[in-house]
Amino acid sequence: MNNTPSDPSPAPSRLPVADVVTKYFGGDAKFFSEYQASCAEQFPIDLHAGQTASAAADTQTLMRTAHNLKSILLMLGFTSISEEAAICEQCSQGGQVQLAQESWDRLAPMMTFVLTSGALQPLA
Amino acid sequence: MMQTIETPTESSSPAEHLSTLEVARILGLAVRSVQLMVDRGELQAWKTAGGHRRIARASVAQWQESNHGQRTAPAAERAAKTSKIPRAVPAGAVNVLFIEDSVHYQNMVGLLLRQKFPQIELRTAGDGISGLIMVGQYEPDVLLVDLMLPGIDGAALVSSLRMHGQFRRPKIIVVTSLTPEQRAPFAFALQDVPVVFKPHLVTELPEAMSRCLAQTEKSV
Repeated sequence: MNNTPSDPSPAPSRLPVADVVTKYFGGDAKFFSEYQASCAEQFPIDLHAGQTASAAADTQTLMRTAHNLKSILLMLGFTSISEEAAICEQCSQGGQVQLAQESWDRLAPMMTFVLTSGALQPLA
Repeated sequence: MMQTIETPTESSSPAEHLSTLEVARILGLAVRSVQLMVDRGELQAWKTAGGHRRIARASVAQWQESNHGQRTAPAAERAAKTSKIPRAVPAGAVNVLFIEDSVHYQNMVGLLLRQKFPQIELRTAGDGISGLIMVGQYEPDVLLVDLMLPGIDGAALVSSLRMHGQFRRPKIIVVTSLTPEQRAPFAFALQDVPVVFKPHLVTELPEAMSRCLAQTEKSV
């Protein structure tokens, strides 16, 4: 398993935040901002959980981690990362260990990018 | 001001220190409240290189003992200590139990209910088995249940409750990120139960909750 792919993934795209707030948060930008801040605290824990599960070929934990990330990332507007999380979830659920690990290896750097790029900063 | 304690080494047990979010969950408080408690020196903490607070578990337990006692004890500890706990909620409060393994959704529902329904006393369980125990302990007015749960899934949990007369009282709302097609295997448990699709939770849960509250005696 390779946790640090040599070919860096392209930066994940994100829907415009205003659209996300309207579509998933009922237009409540303050609530969105507060919730996003809580995600910024939880994502590193998820990342660690997924990394540990992937390394241990623990598909049950990997499936739950990916399953939860899938819908949260969708609601935050990170559509392409959400889709990768869905792939990881499906592969884990189907017991396809290597495919699940490969999917996680694509997902993890995208999550790291989200955490380090300032994308989760509070709204101005 | 943040109390300074020795920064743990790499070999320190991660269980000895908690993130702000984890402490917020344990204490049933907002993340910001916990941050302020750290800043006021009420909790012992240190900061990671990235600036995140890491809070000593021992200081959290100490704070619980001196402030909130039973209400904020971790669910597993509460379950182990007693089989049934009196419903110590403020007069007029509505007792809601959320059974959900995702911290993200625990946090989202906590924020949402505090904002929209300040009369709600929210407790959470992180898996189906703990959830069943807490239903017996706290006799919630409303039960929010995720379908995909570790231990015992939400559908089995709902079915189990329906089979036992003493647990028929709580109104039930199912929350799930499964699409209607993916929910088909759980259909046996979802009859007459409102289902909130997680991506629409912020907009749909308040309405579903309002309907449940209208059906409970406490909402009168």
